[in-house]
Amino acid sequence: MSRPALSHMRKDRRTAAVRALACVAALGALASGGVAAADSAAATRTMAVSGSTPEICALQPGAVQTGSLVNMTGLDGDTLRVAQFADPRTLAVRAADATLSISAVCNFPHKVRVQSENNGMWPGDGSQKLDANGFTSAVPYRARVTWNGASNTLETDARVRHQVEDELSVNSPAVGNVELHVEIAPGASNSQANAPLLAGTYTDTLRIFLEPL
Amino acid sequence: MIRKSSLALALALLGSTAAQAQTETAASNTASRAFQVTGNVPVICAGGALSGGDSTFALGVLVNTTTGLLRTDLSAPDKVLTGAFCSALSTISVAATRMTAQNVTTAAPAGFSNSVDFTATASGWTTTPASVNTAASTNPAATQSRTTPFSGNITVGLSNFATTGGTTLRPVADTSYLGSVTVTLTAAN
Amino acid sequence: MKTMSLIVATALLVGAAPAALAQDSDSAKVSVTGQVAKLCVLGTPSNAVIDLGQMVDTSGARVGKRAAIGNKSVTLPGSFCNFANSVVTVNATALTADDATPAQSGFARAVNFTATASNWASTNAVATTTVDRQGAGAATTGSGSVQSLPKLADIGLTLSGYDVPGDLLLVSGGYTGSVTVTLAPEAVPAP
Repeated sequence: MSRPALSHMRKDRRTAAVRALACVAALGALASGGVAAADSAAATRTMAVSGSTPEICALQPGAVQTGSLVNMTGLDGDTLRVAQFADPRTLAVRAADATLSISAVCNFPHKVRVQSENNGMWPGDGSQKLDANGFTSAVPYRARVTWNGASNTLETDARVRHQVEDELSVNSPAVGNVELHVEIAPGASNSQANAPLLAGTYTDTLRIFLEPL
Repeated sequence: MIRKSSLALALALLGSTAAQAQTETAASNTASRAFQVTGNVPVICAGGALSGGDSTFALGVLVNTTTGLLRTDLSAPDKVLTGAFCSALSTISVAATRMTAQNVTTAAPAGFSNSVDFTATASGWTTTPASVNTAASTNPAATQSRTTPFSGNITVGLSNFATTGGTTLRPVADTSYLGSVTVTLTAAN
Repeated sequence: MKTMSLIVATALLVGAAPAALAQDSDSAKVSVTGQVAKLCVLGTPSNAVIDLGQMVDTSGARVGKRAAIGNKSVTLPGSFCNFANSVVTVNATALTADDATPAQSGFARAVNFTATASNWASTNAVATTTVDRQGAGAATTGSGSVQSLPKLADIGLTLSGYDVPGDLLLVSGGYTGSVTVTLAPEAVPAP
């Protein structure tokens, strides 16, 4: 006995349903084995980590290099004092020397600029106009800056009172100590060597700048 | 004389239902058929959704602006991947690349560094969190396993920031230092 | 189907006619009887296994959760009972993961469904499984209404209404359940 439904010639819904089932069953068999599980068996999340470093130059207060003082009493705050400026007999300028060490850093390519406010050491408020022939009315000196293995010397000539400066490029970040070597030669003078000093208090202001190129 | 013969007809009618045509061995008033119902679930891992904000750990300014040295208080809020899951046993691994200056391409001079190391930790998935340090040569804790399916949150955090090459070095100036952290869930088939 | 064998035995009665007694007719009585047993048969279906295939979404908002699994149907063609008052019954066991390890928090290892046997009587036999996420719970049985006439028909079996307890994630692996369709006389309560 057998009455297989598929052999029925009547186009009833039962027969149609059975035929349709055959197709669905085949699709089901394909789908169950082959879905790409490889992609979904691993999951990844990536997160960025960001930050910034701004351009920074920093200079600490200077300190006198031990043993470098010649005829200088030392650093008084930010003032280098010459112990005995004039020779007591001749009133010629006496040699004086000091080297300061200034801890410094710039984390980007930069330059170091050394600036003399007066182009030499000048007495009092600078109103001295005595054209005293034969006397020293302003004292030239040399300031040498050494930084990151390079040096630059600013020579003041004390002839005209004005701001002078010089600079040194540093094409990379640098950290260490800026060496400032202030050197007053014996007999330094804005007129002639060893000319006696006019009375007064002689000063200059040196500024060191670390700044962008 | 009449001879009669009678024909007696004995008829036996034998009717039977067609027991012999059944395939079942026992013809019965009850019939039963059993069907097996099958299905499958592939192994799936999903990384979940990042909650609260974007996907970048933004540390901001990395250095102390007076000294130029790396700040000692660097931190960024943890990120949470919510609804992460693996439908089979799995491993979690965390990988990271150190933060490196993006614009400065020259080698850092003496006293400086152009990268910052850190430790990234992914916790919540395994008993021991997975962690990786960008300065370490080996990171055995970077991959951790669990033996059962899991669904939950993964917390990713950063710590232990240090200038590459030594804490006395200073990072070079750069507006963009960039690194990354990658968390991967892998299911075992 | 019935076959009939006709066995005819013929007896010839021959003998000397008694002189005195003569009959010109006679009759004899024979009873004719037949036996038909009560029988139900379920037709051979095209598939003995109903495969739902991959049961979860692999991407999208419902990744790892029950996908939209369509109804699955099987026919038992040419099923019949040759007696009155039969009933079709369907018994369903929910799909559970072949791996017996209990499901972790947030996961289920069972899929419930509804099995319907149709085209026998005015009311179909329906069974809906109700196991919990660990697959604990009995198989369920449902019977259709009584078919008061002998019947020959293509019984349909349909699976539908798939449901994961708690709509949780499903542990990976193969799952197995079962459905049994039974045709039987109506159960009559003992007097």
